[in-house]
Amino acid sequence: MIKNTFSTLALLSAVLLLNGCTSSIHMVNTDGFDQAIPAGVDYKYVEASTKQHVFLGFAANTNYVDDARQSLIAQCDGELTAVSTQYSTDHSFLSWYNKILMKGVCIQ
Amino acid sequence: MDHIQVGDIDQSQGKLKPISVKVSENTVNVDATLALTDAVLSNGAGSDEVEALRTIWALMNMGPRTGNPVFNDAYAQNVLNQLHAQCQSGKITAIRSVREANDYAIASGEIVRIDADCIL
Repeated sequence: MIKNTFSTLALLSAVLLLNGCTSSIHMVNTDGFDQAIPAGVDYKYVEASTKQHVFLGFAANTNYVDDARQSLIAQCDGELTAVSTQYSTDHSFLSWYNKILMKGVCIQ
Repeated sequence: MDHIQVGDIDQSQGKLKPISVKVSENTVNVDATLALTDAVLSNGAGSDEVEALRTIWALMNMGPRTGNPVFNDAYAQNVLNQLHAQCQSGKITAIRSVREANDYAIASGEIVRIDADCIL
C-alpha cells in the first residue's frame, strides 16, 4: 500500500518535472557574406523568430518560415546580408513546437 | 554527422584565411540512462516503475530530434556574430555549416560548427 502510494507520487512528480524540458537543434545555416561591410557605414544585427505548434502530428501555422523571413526584412530598410537560419524543436506532451530563428546584418 | 551544407566558394578576390566557430551543448540520453539503471538495479529483470517513467519521459518530450535532445537550445544563437568577429574584412566565403555530435552512449556533446574562409 505504502509502496504503491510512493510509486504514484514519484510518477506524478516525474510527469510535472519532465514536461517539455528538452529541445533539439536540427540545423544552423549561415550564408551571404558576399558584400563586405564598407568602413564607416552603420550596421546592426537584426533577428526574427517564429514557431509552429504541432499536436499529434497535426501542424498549425504552416507559413512560419515565410513569416520569419518577412519579419526579418521588415526590420531592415537597407541591405540585409549574412543571414543565418536556425531550425529547432521544443519537445512537449503529445505535441511539439518547431522553431525558426533568423539573424542577419542590416547595412543602413 | 547529421547535416552539412556548403555555400559558394570565391577564390578570385584575394588570399583566404580559414576561420571556424564551434559551439556545443552537453546532454544526457535520459531514456538510455533509465534503461541502463533499471538493468543494473534489477539484474536485467526490469521494473514496472522505471518502465512507466520511460513511457512518461517519451510522452512528455515528443517531437522530431537530431542527435540527443538538449536542455538548453540557446547554445547556437551567436554563431553569426562570432563568425563575423573573426573576419576583419567582413568578406567570408566557402561557408560549411555542420551539425554533428560526439556520442558517448548515454551522454553526448551536440555540436554546431561553421567553417569558412575569410577573404583578406
